[in-house]
Amino acid sequence: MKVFKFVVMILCSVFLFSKMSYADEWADRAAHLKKCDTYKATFLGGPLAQSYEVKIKRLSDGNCKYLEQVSEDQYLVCQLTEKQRLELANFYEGWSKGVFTGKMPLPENGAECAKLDFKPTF
Amino acid sequence: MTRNSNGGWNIEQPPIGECWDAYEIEYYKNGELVTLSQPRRPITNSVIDIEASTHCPNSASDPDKGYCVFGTDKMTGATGDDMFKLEAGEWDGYFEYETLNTLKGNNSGLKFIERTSLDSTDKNRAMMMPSGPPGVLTDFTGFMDRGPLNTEPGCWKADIKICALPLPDTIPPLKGICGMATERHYTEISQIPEADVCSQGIPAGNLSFNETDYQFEWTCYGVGEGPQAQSVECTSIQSMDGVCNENVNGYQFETEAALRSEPLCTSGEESGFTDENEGRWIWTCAAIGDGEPQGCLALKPGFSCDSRVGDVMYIMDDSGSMGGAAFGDSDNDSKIVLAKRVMDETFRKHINKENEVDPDQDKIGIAGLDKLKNIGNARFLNWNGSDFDSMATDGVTESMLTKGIYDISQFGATGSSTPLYARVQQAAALLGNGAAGEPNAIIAFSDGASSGNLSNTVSALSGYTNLRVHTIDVEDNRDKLRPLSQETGGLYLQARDEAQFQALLDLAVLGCDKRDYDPVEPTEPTATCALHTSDAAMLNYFGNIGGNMANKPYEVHLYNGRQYSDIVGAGSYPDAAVAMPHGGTFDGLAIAKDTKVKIYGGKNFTGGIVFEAEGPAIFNSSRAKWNTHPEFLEWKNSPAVHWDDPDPKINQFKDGRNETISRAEMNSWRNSGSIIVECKQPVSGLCGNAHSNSYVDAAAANGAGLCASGFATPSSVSGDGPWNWTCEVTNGGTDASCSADQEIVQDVIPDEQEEPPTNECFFHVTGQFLNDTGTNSYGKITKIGVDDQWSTLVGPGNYSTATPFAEAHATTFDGLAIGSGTRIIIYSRPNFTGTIQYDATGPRILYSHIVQRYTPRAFTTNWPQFPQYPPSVRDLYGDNMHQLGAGGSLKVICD
Repeated sequence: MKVFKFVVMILCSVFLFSKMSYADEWADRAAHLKKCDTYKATFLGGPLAQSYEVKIKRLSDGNCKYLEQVSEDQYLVCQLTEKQRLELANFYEGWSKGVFTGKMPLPENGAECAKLDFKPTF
Repeated sequence: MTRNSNGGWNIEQPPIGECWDAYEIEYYKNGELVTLSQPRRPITNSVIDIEASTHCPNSASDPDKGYCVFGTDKMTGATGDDMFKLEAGEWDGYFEYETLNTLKGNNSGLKFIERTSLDSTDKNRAMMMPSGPPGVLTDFTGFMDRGPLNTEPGCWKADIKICALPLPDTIPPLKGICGMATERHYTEISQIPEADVCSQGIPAGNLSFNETDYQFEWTCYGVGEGPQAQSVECTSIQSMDGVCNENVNGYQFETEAALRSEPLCTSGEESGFTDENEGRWIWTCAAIGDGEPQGCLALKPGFSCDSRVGDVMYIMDDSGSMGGAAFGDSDNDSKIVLAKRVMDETFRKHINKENEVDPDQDKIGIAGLDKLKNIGNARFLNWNGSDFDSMATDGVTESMLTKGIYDISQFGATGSSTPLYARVQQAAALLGNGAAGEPNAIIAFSDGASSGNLSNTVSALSGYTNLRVHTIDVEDNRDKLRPLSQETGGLYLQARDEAQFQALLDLAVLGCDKRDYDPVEPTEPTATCALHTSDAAMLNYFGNIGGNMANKPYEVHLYNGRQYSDIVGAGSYPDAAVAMPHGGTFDGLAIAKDTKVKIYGGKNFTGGIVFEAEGPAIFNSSRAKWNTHPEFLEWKNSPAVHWDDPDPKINQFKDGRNETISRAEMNSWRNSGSIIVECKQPVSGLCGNAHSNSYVDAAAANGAGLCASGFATPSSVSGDGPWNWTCEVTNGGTDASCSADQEIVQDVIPDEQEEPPTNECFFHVTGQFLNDTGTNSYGKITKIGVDDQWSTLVGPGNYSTATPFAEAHATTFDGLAIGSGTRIIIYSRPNFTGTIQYDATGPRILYSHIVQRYTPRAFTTNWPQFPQYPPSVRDLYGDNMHQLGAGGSLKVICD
């Protein structure tokens, strides 16, 4: 019986992960960015579709802290103003709707993030 | 293999079946070019070297006994005597007896041994095999040939070398020997014939010019090998004539500044410039090496000289002192030798001019000084004892050049060999007056050391109106020679070197061309360029000073209906009275800060410069009674306080000269002199040595010098380059914009890189954000042109693998930068195969989607330090940037 439950869990996990498409993941990320809801998720990224992290956290000053893993040991970290946060959210929303090519409209005062060689405290 | 033009070798691949060791070599021997060639050799047994090598010692079981076995462990030499032991049983294997080094035949040192059982008894018995006797091995070989074993020679490993046998020794070793060029002088490299570079050996192709030592340098390689083929370093001194700028030489100029509006020399450096030469500026354009210097001159305003010259007689002072101490820089030549050499040159020009330009039967003679009794000497050119022959009619004109040069060259230095002597007054009597527009002339060379009654000679000359005596002073005895010239309106000529003497003598003999100059018309005074003169003291108020008036600079007042001060701008004032107080006494003078004033002692810029000053300056007459006046004392003792004024026209005098001068002297200028007022040319900012160069860091750039003229703004550069600064000036000149680059330092230099990267030729890829400063609000990122831990930067080259992309691919590939003079081609496969993924020419920046999302300002902000990368050349790579260069290859190309 225990063995059966374990197999079911694995199958469910595979099912859930495979169901979460890139578009869904980007839409989900955009939705959380829009509200700066505290958010922690994994997504499939990189050339081998590894499981990477993304986190969102509201800060006491009203800004929004954003973390995205971009490779095995590299992380993007941003502190986004409301305007920057909404722009980034719109960006991902655009991607989720299939707008991939070309430069998106670039804001003069867009986000400026750090690309770190280590995982920062979040 | 053939020698290429750079001293290297070109390798040409031969057809299949032939060796690669053919060559053709060219070298010089005894000054002749020799070509030696070795044809390609066909690959036959004669060029193949085969050397067998042992299978041991890796498999040697007994190195001491000199054998090894492999393929079996049933043989051993560990028998305690000169025997090998073969174990019982059926088996086979290899046995190599190194001691027996014959390579071929049955008794080869390598044997395949197969032990087969002869019968059932035998197969179970061990067998002994002789290994000696030592050194002879006959027992061993006999056993191997006849023993109860199946033995076969084994195959040996061999090293085979094709085309490795030495070539025929056809090139005897020859040392390099410099060619004739080393003994000759040239102006520039292109004048050096290749055949003169090396008389023996091979020119290295490194002919260059050493600017420090003014010499050409090169190497002659030896031919062949060994100590007898040594190379030699050769040099040849550069020679270049000094050449006057013909747009300047001989012309009249109003001011030195006008004269210097062009370079004074078109070749060679200006030297010996002086403006103390009797109405002339004179200078020398120095030669380099064995070149000839040239003396040059320009005429000052009012300089008087004849444009045409009539009959001429050269008179040489041949007194003992003329043959004594050397003149100035004349390489130990005596003064008379110098004088003759100079006269020789001018004489030839003189003859040419008489023949070609002025064919009016003028006569030319040469005489010595003081001994008229030798007048009949045959070498006295065309003198017949009583009169000059006519050069136009007696046929001697054509022969004058040759004859004249001959006679001059034979002129004895001193003593009894001197051919002819004539006193100046006797020469004058012979020549008489010329025409008013073409006066006759006596050219008298002397050091002024001869005793004699000068006043008698001067008195004798006073009777001539159109006869000039030009005195050539080869010492410095103007008191004895100058009166002769003054009396006759001739020129007194004294110079600092031989070239200047030549120029001055040419001027006297050939006449000056009277080329006009453009006088500087007076201009209106300005706030910084003005001369203000007054018959009152120049102080910072208008009013009374001890019963006299004080005058404020830049204020012109009438007093009792008379304008007692005058203010003028830049210009030439041949009569000083025009620009100076109109009547009364002359007591004060103000020179604004960008003004230069020269006052000549005579009208029309004659009499030499008696006063010269640059502003800002105030000069007041030194009247004793003013010394008790508080305002005057304040000016004398504390000019900075006295001139402290909100009006910049007044305030400018705080920092300049504030001096007294005698009233009599000032009045003499007004009464007798002339004035030139010049505005100092505005000085433009000029970049220093650091400009346009590359440095490791800001300190090195600062150390090189930011500005050669002007003030660096900022005063120093800092941080990472490139660095920009301005050399600013405040006197109306133009500021200069300057820049320097940071030297590119690579952490790894790829093998396939052909040249180091430069600021224009580079390819830079990074796994980090990339911008112009290397920082963003979070900290350090990649800066264009800086090879950091996230990025790789390479110069031109064909990179057959994806090595340059390795660091970017190690993370997320986020950006690349292409230098402004660089083209890159990225191939999808190694060795420049597959598809072309990207082909672009810089300046260009390419960013990944990550940059677009997380630091989009990288696309839009302006980069002042990298103006070559405006936003328009920064693009998004629309696809996955990681694909670029992954497993591919790269070409980086720069013109």
